[in-house]
Amino acid sequence: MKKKIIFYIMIFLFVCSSIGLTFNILNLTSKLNSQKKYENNITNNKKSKEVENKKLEEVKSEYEILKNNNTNKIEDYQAWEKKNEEIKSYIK
Amino acid sequence: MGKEKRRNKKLYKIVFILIISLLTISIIGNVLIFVKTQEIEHQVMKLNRNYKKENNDLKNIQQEVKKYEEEINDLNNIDENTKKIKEELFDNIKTLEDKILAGQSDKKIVYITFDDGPYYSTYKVLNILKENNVWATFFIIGQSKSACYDNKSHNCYEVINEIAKNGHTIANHTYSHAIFQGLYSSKNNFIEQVKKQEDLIKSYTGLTTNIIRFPGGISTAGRLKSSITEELRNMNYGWIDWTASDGDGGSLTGKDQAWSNFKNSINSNIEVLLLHDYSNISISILPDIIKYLKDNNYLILPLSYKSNMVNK
Repeated sequence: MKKKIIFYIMIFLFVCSSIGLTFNILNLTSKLNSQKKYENNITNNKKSKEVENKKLEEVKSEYEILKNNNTNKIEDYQAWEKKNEEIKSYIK
Repeated sequence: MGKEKRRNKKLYKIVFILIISLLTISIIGNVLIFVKTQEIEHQVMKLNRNYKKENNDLKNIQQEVKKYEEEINDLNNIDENTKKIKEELFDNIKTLEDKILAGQSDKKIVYITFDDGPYYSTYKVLNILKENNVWATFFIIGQSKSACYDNKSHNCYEVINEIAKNGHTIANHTYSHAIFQGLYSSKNNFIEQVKKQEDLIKSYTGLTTNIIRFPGGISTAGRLKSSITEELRNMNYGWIDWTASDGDGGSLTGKDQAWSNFKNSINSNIEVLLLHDYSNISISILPDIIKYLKDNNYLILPLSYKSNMVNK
């Protein structure tokens, strides 16, 4: 009778352990998937970063060229803007 | 019977050992997988941090790209933007004028205006205005300006463009200014002179003006005053005289007289000061005029059609 009880306890523990093992495997699979997903995202981000950095260099240089070609016009605009702000402060 | 019992006992033993073994394997498997899962989770967290950092970097770069693209767009439209800000400024000046006229502001406004140019000496005026960071209004004429009166080797039409480039208001003073050669002989003749000058200004600056000052002032138009002003109104023009001057249009004995004339004529909260850019006396006292006006709380502003001082 005692042996039978031990036997059933063993069976119960085995079932529990098997269920735990299944959950652990599922959990591990999920973590591995996440890991892969993040690695892919980081790779994609790096590629996008390279593209955006290139784009940034292009727009920066275009901006500098335009800025240098329009120095007087920029100064004029800023002068009008400053005067406008001054007048606005008097009519508040 | 004894034999069968022994066999059952043996079978039970085998099954028991088998279960123990499987249980052991399962527990070891659980532990190993748990450890591995923790390790992977740690890596995922690290990757997550890296991903967030990379993502932030990417967003920052994209924002910077966007910022530069907006700046480029602004620079490509700088002429249009300058035009817009000037229009906004003129609206605000009109509002300030309304407040001053209603006694709701202690500020004062003066519009410095120069008649009859351009001349070669206009360059000196432009330099003084630039040095003092103020804008003025130039009522220009067009006839016989291919050679400046004060420097025959210089084409005075070039000065018109220089006035515009410096941001000053360019306004119409008729093409010929020929008061004694029939300018006011008829309405049609006068209007023709206005249109001719309008075309000239547009051809040299690309600007369209709709402010005019009558040569000699509105009173010089005599009996034609009302018919001309009505026609100008139809053409969407406004006209303006002056409220102050240093007398440089007449005969001046010297700087002292000009200075005295100027000071005596400045007494309202909104003034339209008449000067001539051919007058060496006016040019020589212009820095002092500007200083005096600034010291007396006057804002020196360029004129626009929207101003209350422009009659519509």
